[in-house]
Amino acid sequence: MRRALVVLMAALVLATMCVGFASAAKPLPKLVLLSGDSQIARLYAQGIQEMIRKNLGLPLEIEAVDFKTRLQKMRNNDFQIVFAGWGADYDDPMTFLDMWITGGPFNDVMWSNSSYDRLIDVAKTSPDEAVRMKAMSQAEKILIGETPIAPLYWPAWNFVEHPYVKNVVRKTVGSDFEWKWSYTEGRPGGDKDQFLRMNFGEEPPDLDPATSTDQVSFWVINATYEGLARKNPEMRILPGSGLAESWTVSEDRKVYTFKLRNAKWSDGAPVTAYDFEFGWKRAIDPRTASQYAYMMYVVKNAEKVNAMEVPDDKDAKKAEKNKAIDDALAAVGVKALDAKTLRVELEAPTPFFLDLITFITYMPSPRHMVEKLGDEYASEVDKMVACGPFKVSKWQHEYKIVLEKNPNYWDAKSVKLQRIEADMIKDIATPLNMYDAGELDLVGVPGTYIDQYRNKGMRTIAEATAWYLEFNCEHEIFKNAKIRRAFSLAIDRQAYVDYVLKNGSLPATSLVPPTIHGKDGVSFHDVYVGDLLPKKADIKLAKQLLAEGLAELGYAMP
Amino acid sequence: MLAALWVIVTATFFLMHSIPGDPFLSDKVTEAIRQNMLRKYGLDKPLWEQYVIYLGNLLRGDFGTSLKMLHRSVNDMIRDGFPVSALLGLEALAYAVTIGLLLGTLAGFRHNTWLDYLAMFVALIGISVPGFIMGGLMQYIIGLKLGWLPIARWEGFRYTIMPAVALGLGTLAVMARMMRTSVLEVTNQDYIKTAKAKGLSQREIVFRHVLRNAILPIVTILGPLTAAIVTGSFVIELIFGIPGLGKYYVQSIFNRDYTLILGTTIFYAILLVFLNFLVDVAYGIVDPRIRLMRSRE
Repeated sequence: MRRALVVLMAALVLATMCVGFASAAKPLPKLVLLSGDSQIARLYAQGIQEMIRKNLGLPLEIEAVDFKTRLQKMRNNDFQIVFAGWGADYDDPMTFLDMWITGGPFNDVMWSNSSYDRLIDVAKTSPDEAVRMKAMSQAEKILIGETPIAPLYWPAWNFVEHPYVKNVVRKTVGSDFEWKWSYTEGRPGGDKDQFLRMNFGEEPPDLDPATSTDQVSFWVINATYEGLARKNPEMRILPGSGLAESWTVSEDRKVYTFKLRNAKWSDGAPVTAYDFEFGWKRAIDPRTASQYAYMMYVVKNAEKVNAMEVPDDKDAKKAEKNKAIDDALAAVGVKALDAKTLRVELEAPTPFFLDLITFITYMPSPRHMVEKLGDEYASEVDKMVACGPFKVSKWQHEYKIVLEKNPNYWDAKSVKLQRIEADMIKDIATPLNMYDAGELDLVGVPGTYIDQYRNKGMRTIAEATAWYLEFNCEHEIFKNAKIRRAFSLAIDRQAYVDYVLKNGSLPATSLVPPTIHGKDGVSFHDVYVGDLLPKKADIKLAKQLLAEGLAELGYAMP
Repeated sequence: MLAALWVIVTATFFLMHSIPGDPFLSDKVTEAIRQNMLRKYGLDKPLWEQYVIYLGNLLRGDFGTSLKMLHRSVNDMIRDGFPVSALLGLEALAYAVTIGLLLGTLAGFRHNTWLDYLAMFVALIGISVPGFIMGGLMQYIIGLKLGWLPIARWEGFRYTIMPAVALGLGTLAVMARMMRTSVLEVTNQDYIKTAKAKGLSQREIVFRHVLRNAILPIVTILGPLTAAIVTGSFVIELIFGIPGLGKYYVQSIFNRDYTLILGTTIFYAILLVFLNFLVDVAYGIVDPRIRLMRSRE
């Protein structure tokens, strides 16, 4: 009996081998990693290349292209593996998770999983935070398990500031900087004149909150405007912290009613609920063509209106189409009931809505100015007004911008800083020299200078950003989840941050960075998800998965 | 000249549209919103139609609005940036040409002496050390360690010294080497021997015969060289935080800022053509054989 079994098994093995040889497994095609073309991006890509070579024995080519070319290739689904990153738009895990739903606008990997979609839907519509957290953590487990993306690292922000600089709050979501409570104490030369000097690195491209999209503009807008609420230094959102004095939420958590405080624009005009309605609708209006309009999609009907067709100048039905947009805008869920009351209706209960109201796109637009100036609004110092702690007092394009305390700000008594002077020097070494010479009060420390500044009081804070590899799930090799997972497990994330990045970044053991909060202000990653990936490479499992995956697809192991 | 400009505009227009991506492509733009933005700025129209519209605007002197800085016109950006770059460039050029010619001449006349070696050593450094290295080095030593000059910014003459020196160094070196070669060549010519035989003073030989002939090849390259230096070096403006035109040449391409790419390219082309014209005029002054007036007589 036993002998028969052995013979049978031997026959089976032989047969399998014969079949294997007979079908002559296909040779593996060339594998290519698409990356940025900066020196740093190439270095980071080479780190991955080396780990895949060493741990999986696979040659991986690097195709380095410039930023826009890489994005276009991602959009066209013209890649195998690509190095990509995402920064949080708001403080909720959803900002990292809803992008991977089937057909999602940022789902360049063409991945689709119906359980995942369902869980995201639950988390988007449920008013119950506990239910949401559970759904999102399950969703993230599916995502990491199937590996359409392989998280690599969570970057860190390194900076130095002179000891006399106090209370410059650094945030991980929205505008990086918050200066409302900043001041100096013990500056050589005295603190009578309260000011800060820093380097913005570039010209803010767009200081109009309805259309702005970039960080530098966000810093200025966050300082010169105010939304319905302003995050406190502990990142909490409390009623009365912004232009809304208080608010109430309906039973079904879909309707918010904000009571506005007495506040003025820097030119003396009152800030009203109409300015909020006007500003939000301006961002939503497809004729404005605001890139961040999608941040408003939680507001009832906003997405629908934003997707409407904008008529061409020569369009015969121009008037008709414009009227259709105007009518649809009237049905959008934001309405000023009177000058002091703003009613907002949402598509679904959105627990992170209170985080969104601190976002730049949700700031009010001064209707009296915008209607007069149109697209010229916010193009020069005399063509803009402020309702935040500061106002722009000098703007030399591409060179320097000066913010000055706004005496009309409702909480001006809390603002100690009189002035913020900012250069726009793009070089990375120059600002460090200026900092050392005492010409700048604070400065960011780029990767290559970390060792030099580590002993000069350098501080590091974790960002709400994740970098990962995206796999094209329609590619002949990477459509196989085992192969994708093999690549992910072959990466030694700890070694990668320690020896390749060397800039304080953390190994990403899941997608959502630990800085993103879950229910009750705890870290979503730490409390609800945990490490879904090992910090060190799991070479044995990776090799096994690779072999299995390749066999399934009929490819020869190289 | 107009034909040349037209070729440049056309080639640039179609080449830049052939690079992947567009001004509104970003990692945070949905495809629907991106299409909407392209439509708003007329980039959804067929390429030839965009081309015709652009040419029409160009004829009216309108370079259009930057597609990155949506609130700024390219005309304004050039108007603000060019004077800064021009000032920096002229300063660099003035010192580079003066010192370069002086060094070259001295080296030529004192061929194979310590003066020659010293001049050529300076020139060698100028050629082999790129401006941005020299700029960074000066920032660190003269700006930070010695505190003699400001590290960066653009607030007055003191602020222009280091960037101008860094920017002009390469030109200085080229000038010195060319002038030396030129002087050596001219001094061996027969007409110099003739001049000597005529009994002209050394001074007269140097100024009337040697220098005047030696400077000709240098005048030739002065046109393009001036254009290059006046539109500013991208890197020098970058490290010294100077609000000039130089950075637009690089940034506009990176951003796919079509109107700015075209605007700066056309502006540069016009400048180049104009400067070459000036060189032709200067040629006539230095070399009577080329003077048009004479040939007519």
